[in-house]
Amino acid sequence: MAEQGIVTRSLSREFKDKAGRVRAAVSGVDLTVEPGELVSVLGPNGAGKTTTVRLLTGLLTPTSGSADVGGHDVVRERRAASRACGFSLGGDLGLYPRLTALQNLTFFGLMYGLRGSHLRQRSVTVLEQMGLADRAGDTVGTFSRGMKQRLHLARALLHEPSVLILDEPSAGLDPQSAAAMRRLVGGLAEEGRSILLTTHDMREAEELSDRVVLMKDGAVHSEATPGRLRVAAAARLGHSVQIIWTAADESVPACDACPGLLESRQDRGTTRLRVRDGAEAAGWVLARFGDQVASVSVTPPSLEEVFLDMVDSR
Amino acid sequence: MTATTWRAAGDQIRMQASSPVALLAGLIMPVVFAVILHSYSSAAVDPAFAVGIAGIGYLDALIVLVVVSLLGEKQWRTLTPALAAPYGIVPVVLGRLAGMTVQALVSLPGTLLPLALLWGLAPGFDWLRWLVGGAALALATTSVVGLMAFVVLRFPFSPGMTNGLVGLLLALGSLLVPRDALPPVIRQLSWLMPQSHVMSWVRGADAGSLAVSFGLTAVSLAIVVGLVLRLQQAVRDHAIPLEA
Repeated sequence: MAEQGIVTRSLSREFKDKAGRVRAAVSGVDLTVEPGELVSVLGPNGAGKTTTVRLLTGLLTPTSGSADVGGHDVVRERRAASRACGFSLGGDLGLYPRLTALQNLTFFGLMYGLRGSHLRQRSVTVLEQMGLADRAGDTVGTFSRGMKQRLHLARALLHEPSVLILDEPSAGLDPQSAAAMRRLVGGLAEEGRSILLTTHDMREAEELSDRVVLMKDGAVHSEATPGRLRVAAAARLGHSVQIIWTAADESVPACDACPGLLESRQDRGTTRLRVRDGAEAAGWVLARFGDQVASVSVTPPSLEEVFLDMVDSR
Repeated sequence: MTATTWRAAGDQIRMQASSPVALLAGLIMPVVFAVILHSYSSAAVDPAFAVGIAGIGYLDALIVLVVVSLLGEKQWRTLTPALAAPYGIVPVVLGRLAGMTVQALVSLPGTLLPLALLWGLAPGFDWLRWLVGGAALALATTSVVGLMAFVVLRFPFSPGMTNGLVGLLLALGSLLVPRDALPPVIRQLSWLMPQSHVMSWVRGADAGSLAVSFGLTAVSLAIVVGLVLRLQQAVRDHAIPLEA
């Protein structure tokens, strides 16, 4: 579906504080989201995620650099870029609480040039897609946070954009609603749209993303597939090795002599090690205690550990 | 853009039609005003008095509606998705003002009825001047109060934004006193106010006054649009929040 996706070139945005000091909220960001790709942007508060989203959606103008959305420059061709892009706000604001879900959608649909029966049909279709068809006639003020988040997503899809920018779509949702939201977003990615997702939910990012971009201090710190990020981080953080012993009592062997051992934890019939080299450690365990081992598994650091490592790094 | 504006007007009425504060401001306050004014005279109600009293209702109602409606937009953060849309917030603001004009128009028949019951209508009451003048005055008042809409959107709200505004616009608009009877300085300023030209026509001036009022109303609305466009740009350039 998407032909152009998102491209930013040295995108920067500075702000002046009250004392007149200039602070870069986003600095030299080069980012691409290919057609049909879902890219998650992760970063601590103040990393520049929301500013990047606001620059891409035309809510802010860049201080320098440029950005294309759907093949259109977000400053020089703002209206065309806006039509190519569906934008979903995080949180439960941004909707008219005294209007119904259908009235909200048809109002925002008009802003994007949809008219008459096509507008109504699209509104009904996206409400069905988001599982809100039976609440179409209810005022949004009566909706739960999860329903409002889905309505945000419905609004973003209304004009069938090739690019979707989703700002923390599952923020503040209960686990069930968050899982439902992940399924919805995952389904949208399969339809071939270019999706940029900002989130604090590592599981969401890992589950959904083709690529993850880690931002820190307004700049891109690193970017790769979730798997590659984890493997790359293993060189610094080591691997987790989980050993399940055949005996589930106090008699399980000690692994204090394991090569490259960083940390060891024992829990009944299971030992968890953090080691520099997972393969070497697993080999050592099997060679020394092979007849007592039920299973051994090696995993690189989780995305959350990679994220925390980035936040802590200088 | 036009479709969005019409729809924003309809939604304004849908969302705020039963605002008790606006109804109080648009109907009861002007009638109370009329009773006080009429205690100095025993004349029957003529179109100038009827339209002038309705004009007070317009002012009161529109100021309340601008504050309630646009602060609602800021509180609900609904202007942010509008700003990201192709035509931004201008069609929304214009639509809201159009809807408020229709709401304010309730003051025209709503104040005439009690006035007529209390003191009767003057012989040969000119219904055309009452109706056309009343409608033109509502438009003119909206165009002027629209400038306040910009202020409410641009700055954090404080009651000081509206304090004293009714009295000032009431005088400058020559709603109750003919322009010729105003003090010289106010008379000069009132030439800039579209309301004062509408009131001149209602008081018997020729159609030129009405044409001038429409011209000034258009200029005032153009200034409102220009200010909202500037605000949009300022929000994008300087990250001014459109949120309460």
